[in-house]
Amino acid sequence: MSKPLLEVRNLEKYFPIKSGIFQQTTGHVKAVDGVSFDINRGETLALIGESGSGKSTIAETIIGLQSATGGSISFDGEDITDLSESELEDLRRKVQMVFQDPTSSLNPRRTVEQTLEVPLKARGVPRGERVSKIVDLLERVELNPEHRHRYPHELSGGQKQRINIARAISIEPELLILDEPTSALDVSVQAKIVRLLDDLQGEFNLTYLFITHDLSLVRNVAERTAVMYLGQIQERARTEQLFEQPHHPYTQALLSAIPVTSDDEEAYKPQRERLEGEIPSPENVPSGCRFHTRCPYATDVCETDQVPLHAVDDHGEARCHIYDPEHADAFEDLPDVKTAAAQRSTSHE
Amino acid sequence: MTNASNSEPILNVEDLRVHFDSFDGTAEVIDGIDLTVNEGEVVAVVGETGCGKSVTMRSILGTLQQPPARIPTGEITFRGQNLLDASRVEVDRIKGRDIGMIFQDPMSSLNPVFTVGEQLTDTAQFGGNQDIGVLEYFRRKHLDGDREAARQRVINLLEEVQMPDAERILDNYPSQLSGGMSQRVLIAQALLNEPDLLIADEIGTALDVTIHDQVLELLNDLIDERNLSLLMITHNLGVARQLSDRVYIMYAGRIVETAPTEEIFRNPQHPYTQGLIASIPKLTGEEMADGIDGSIPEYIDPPEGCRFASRCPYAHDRCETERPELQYNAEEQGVACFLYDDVEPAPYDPPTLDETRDQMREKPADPDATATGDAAAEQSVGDLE
Amino acid sequence: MSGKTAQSDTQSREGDSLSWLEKRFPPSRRESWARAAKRFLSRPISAAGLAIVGIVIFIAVFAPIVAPHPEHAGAFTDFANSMHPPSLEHPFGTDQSGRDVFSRVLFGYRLSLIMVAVVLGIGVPSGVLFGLVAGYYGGFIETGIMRATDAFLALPPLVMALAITSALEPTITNAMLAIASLWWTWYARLVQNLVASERNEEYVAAAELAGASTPHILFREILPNCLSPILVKVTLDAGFVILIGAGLSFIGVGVQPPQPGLGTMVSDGTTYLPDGWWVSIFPGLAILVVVMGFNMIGDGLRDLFDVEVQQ
Repeated sequence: MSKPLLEVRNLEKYFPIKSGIFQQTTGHVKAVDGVSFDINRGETLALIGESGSGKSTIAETIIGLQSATGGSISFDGEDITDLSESELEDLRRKVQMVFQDPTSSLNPRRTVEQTLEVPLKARGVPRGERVSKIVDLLERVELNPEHRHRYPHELSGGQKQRINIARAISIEPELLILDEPTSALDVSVQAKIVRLLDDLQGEFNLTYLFITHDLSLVRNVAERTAVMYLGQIQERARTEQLFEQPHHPYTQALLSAIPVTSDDEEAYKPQRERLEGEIPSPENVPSGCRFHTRCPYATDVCETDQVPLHAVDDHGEARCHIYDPEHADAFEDLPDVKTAAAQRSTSHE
Repeated sequence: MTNASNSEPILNVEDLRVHFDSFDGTAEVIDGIDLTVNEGEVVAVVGETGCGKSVTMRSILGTLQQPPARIPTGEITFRGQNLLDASRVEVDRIKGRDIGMIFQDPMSSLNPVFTVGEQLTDTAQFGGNQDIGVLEYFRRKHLDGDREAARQRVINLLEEVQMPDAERILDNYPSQLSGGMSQRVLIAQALLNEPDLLIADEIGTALDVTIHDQVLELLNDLIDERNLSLLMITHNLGVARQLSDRVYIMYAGRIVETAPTEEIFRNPQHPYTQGLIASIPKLTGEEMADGIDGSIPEYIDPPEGCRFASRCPYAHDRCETERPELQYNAEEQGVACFLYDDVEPAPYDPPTLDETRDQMREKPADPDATATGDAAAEQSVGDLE
Repeated sequence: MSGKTAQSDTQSREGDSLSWLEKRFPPSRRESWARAAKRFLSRPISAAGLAIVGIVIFIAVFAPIVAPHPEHAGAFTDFANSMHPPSLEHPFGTDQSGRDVFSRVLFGYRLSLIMVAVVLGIGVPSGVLFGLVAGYYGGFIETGIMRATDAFLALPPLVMALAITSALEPTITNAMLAIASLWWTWYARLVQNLVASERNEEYVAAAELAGASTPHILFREILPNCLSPILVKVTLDAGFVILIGAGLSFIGVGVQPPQPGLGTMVSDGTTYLPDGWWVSIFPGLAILVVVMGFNMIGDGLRDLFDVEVQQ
């Protein structure tokens, strides 16, 4: 069992809330509150969450756009939690990121070629070789190399995102963080980008951290998935298992809410759990289990006691009191969450 | 979803064409579309970026800037009255009283410097009457007893759209509302004057899944209770499936297929529809298609014949020269494709969804083929939406 | 939207076959410039402004050739011909020393444009630089620079120029340097504002991630996106500088006689009003025309950029 490429341990990112005339710190936005996960070389880990889940903050912290307020991150065995400017430069040769909005991540005044030159120049590629490298890159992301003279506004959304991907892989990183890479794209374009990312992963032996809110997409791209809510991981499992047997009530609710387009997908979804209420703000995290304000199974203990991640069967973990043998009696009267999921998954076999 | 009645349609669009004049030429964006919304029906217009669905909506609402837009032909009738012919005053009256609009972006319908309560009460009190003048406005606002009544109506409606703590929300500014709450306010605003037809633009697209779910459920209930008609514009097929009775699929300014919602997902006919549905990632984990090669054609000097031909795996000679018209092969079900032409059979049999999915899974073998093929097909896409 | 196809690029896909110039100004950029120029010129006011300024620049450069009596531009006396009203030979008449006012006005334009070049040439780059640094780094650096800017902005340029030139010699050079030393503040403030918001753009973060150096980010990523407002301001300022220069000359601390400063000429001619009206009026009109010309260009540019932003 080789060492994971990326190890995140109890990562915390708090943003101070300042108010009053003297800008006193009156509280904290706990954007990321104790997140741990590993990513193995060559695999794709999906991070799913809605607004306020902290998934984008995690990405920014890993790559150094934000600095962690607690916890640690290591890359290939080396601690990268607190890096100096020059150390960050080194890190960014190995870890890169693709942003969500293809348009705003490209400078409107620079041509594709000028944009792609930046990482090449920074890595010391001699001037004479840059153009051919750029041509190569464009062909790899399935773009016409002639497009390198174009400006972003002359490209479609899908083409722009390919440029972003080209830029990210130009210096051949090991880990690529994809922050909602297809959320701004039409579904037919999304499919092509996903296929491109898949091919590139094989070709360059890339490791992906795939951040998205689209559960159906995750099924197609990631080996393992972690579900986030209000700054914490609520459930983590192999992707297939997560879908077949979601354990956490939040995951079940998410899955049951997806608008699908076919009957067999409809039958596949867990029983309908329509959540009530709004997503709480990260400034005001609920006590005990963060999900208790909207959870259909919440009981007293959920409001009072915080929840660690409990192992559920061999490969999954869920942050829910239901899976704590000590609290089994609290959930006696409620419909058994576990068997409901189990029933559904056996019924469609 | 409700049962459509068989009376006269509440909204009828016939042979609508919209052209945009620009520095480089005339863009023939909307190229002859017909669509209908019957009383009590929910109709979805589904299409991807650049297909012209927003332009269509703006034409119906009369918010197109003309120039540079021009409507060379077309009729848009609301309850028998042609909106394109009617005067500004008439159209405003209809928009205020009979048609409600729900936009995606709260900032485009709500003024950020006034509280939600102010704005909604204004709408409730003044109805759709926009041109009442400053004095009348102040008179009504401060002297008319109706304000209290209007305010109460607003509160009731906010409660009906499941807004938590409705009365307190009135004092909030639009920027203080969360996504879900903004959407509810917009729905409430649209319903205040009890319209019969709602037109909605990309509802819930920017919302989180769980909130989105609530909002769609809410809309469904409201539509049933009030027997509303809804014309919704979206790029999300899943949302269309959840809300609508009938779907129009739009591509490059034309309607390429229309069918009752269940049918279109069970048995999509047009290759574009099939390609679209095949590209959607499936919850069950089956491999999806690789998307549709190429991109939408230019609107300036558009191709002759079928606008989807350059990307269609079944394109043949006829497709490049002749335009396929929408042919109805069943009640409310039509497709604009020569593969389904009874008169002149095509070289291919009508494909099933699975066949098209397989077609689109094959990668182009040669990277050079991609480069030159895309050189013609991958042209810049204008922001005509 | 234009229909651009890749076939318009005739170069091969491999290698460095595009010249440096063609890389910097690819076809699409040239096309968009051509379109912008067309749009700019389609407005009569902008076109007129451009024509005016174009003529003025031409005159300024070629004054010795264009002027009928170039030798009158300096210390020249011909009292026999003094105070002649406008005629065919002297379209603007002659002044009290018998010099051809027309020729002197042409050379006056030369001095005016030199003023513009010096003041803006010093003020704009330094101001932009300060603004870039302040806006990008924020924190103490920003506070330091911006408070200094505020201090300088509190001083009115004309008064400062007066003060400085009284302390030193009242030459036009000193006056220009005095003004230039204040002019940078406007640009510092403008650019700081622009950069502070540009800085948060995602493509700046993307460039940082890609390893771009700070000078690259400042000058290649951020600055190009700030150019439009700067350009508009420069054209409007040109007119303003000319006015201030004329004003200083009018009071006597600018261009000293016998040099043909436009303001100086107006000032000299006031004694002969209203009979010898041509001595003051024509230089005055000359000032008016060139300032208006710059303003018209500035307005046109501003409209042009607004339209582009909307697109």
